[in-house]
Amino acid sequence: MMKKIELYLESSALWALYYEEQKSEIVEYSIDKPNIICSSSNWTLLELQRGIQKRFNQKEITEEEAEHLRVFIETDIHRLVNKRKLILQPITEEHIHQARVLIPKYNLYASDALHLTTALLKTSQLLIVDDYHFKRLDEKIKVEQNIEVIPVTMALDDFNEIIESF
Amino acid sequence: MTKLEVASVRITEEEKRFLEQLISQGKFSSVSEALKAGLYELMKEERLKRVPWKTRDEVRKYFYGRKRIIKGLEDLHDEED
Repeated sequence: MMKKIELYLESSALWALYYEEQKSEIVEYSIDKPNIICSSSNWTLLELQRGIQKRFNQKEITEEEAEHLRVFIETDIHRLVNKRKLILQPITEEHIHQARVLIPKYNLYASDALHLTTALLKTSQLLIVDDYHFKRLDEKIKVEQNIEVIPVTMALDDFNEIIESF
Repeated sequence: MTKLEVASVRITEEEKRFLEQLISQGKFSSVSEALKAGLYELMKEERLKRVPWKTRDEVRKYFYGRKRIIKGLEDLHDEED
């Protein structure tokens, strides 16, 4: 029997599913792998919406494309949730309290602290983030917290090696 | 604030029992909420018909080569530096 792995997808990792030019093999793979339990936070839905809005504000995409992206991403995430391929964790008082502790401890941004807290409360073993967040988070937390931070661009073979090590 | 309207819906006893069962299971807080959930699904399907993509790959291909002013979601945080 394959061992269950708890994996947390930070907003940037989910964003890579839809918009980034370089497809994230490891996110697609994790979502489809039955023994990898993927979760994220309700907060992620807002960050994805903001990501779309920023692109429209910067004239990177048209208003129509922004609306299409909003509808597609929202629907697709609901599909993943309904198929039990993704769990969206609600933000509770406990999350806010713990995130407040993490901000000064690791000098985290509020959003990063909220994601990290949600991942830790779900006892996630892995946290997938984009390269930018990886640089910001990895060194800070890997020593003290029992969670491995993985960049979204990691090769599938390398990712599988990590999965098999659990 | 969105103005709410009232609509009456005639349903069968069986349909009513089904809705009440969903409420007793804690899935919805009221008949109104349960009916609205069905309505939202229909609205979502209608909106989805206007979207030109069926898969995540199609979305990425559509935007491939697009000039990126923002990379990832990173600059959501830059204001805090």
